[in-house]
Amino acid sequence: MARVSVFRYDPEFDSKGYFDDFEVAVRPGLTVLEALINILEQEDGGLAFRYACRGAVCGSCSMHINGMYRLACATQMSDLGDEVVVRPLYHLPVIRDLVVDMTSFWAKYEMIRPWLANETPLGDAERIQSPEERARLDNLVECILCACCHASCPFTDTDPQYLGPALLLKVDRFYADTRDRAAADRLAAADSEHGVWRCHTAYNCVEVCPKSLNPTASIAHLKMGAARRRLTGRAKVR
Amino acid sequence: MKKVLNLLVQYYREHLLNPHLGMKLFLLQRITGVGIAFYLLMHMTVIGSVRLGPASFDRMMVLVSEPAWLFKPLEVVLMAALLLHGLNGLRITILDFGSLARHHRVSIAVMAAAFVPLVAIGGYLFLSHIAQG
Amino acid sequence: MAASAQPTGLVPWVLQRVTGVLLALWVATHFIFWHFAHSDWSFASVAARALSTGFGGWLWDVILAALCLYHGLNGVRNIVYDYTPPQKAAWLTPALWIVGLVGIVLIGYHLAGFRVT
Repeated sequence: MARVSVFRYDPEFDSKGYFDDFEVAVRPGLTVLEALINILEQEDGGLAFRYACRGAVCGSCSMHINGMYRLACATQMSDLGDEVVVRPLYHLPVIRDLVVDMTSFWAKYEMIRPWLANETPLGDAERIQSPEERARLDNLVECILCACCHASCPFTDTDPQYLGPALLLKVDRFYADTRDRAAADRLAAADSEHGVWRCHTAYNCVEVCPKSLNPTASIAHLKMGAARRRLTGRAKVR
Repeated sequence: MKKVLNLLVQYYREHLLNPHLGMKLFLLQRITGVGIAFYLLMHMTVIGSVRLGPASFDRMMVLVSEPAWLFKPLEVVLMAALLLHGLNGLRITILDFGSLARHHRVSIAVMAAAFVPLVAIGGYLFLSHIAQG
Repeated sequence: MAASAQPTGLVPWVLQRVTGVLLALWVATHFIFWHFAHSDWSFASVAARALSTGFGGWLWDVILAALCLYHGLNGVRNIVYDYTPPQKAAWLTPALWIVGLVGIVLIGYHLAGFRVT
């Protein structure tokens, strides 16, 4: 058995959040998400949380579990011990219980123009990339926009306009893509006081990423690109 | 003042939610940075007393070095703060060179390997009165 | 040298690292020189050491102070920008420059007090 303490907050009734405790029988293979669904079905039908794929690819069930931001569907109850504390993502407004308002996150996502910028006509051929060029995208395309890194970065809180690790990694995803023709624009989005210069390499993002990505490395890559553009006037990817 | 206190509480809260080494080192960098800045204000005031004459300077130096049992440990604290801020700063500078940012854990281990012996040696030298001042 | 029109945080970021590396070496030297290799803190002894290198000695310490001032005040700027967007704190950078320049003048003047025989 494990005791699961879940953050509860209903803006209609509560002035501030509190924790509800539930007893959960732990069997091998039980994930935190399953535990929450069990609680929802058997004990409290009013518990609010997001989930979809249950397979760590949609990024919906991100929350703070026992000291770290994680995906609930990818976290085993048996790894957590007898006391499990579940909180919503920080740095975003709480709508109810474990559900946060991702509006500002998506607004920043739109701002960085997350699509391949290439107006040249395709003709008959594809856009060719060598295996090495494609390999550069390996740890960048896998971001599922779960916002665990965004919640763990102290600077998305101190500066609400800071793009944050997830979105800067997304900028790097396109900056590093040889098929993208907007390197200068990518750098311009990153090279700002609300962009890479707010990163103070605390590395929380790297610690928590459920996909083992490295936003700090992306941010460092963008910093180098910004410096190169200033010194040489060229924004080309190295 | 209350705002500063709120900020400190916020940092504490962030650290509770993310008790990772990188977070701790970032907080220590800020704290030692501000601490060293305040020390420097004092240091420049003390040294600047030379403009009031050699006798004033001599009196001031006595004021900031006696009693030794208080000031020697304080100087060890200063040295530790300088070493931490400096070594951590060098680590961060190196990590910002693109691909080196992938080696976070290693960078902390290397920094600790430099920091611990230097503080130990420096502390020993200070406290065993081999060093003056 | 090509540069984009509006300033971002790039130059201060680079200079913070440049002054930081220089300070790491310079402060270590300064600390060891004055704390570990020095025998006495009286005016006579300190002035002799400072004077023995003449103008160079004075300049050495003034440059160290300038590096400290830049690095420290830039650090303050970073902390403020973490909380306040640069547009709202446009007065900060000029104010810090004034503090820095006044500071270095005062420090240069006071350090010259060791050269009075």
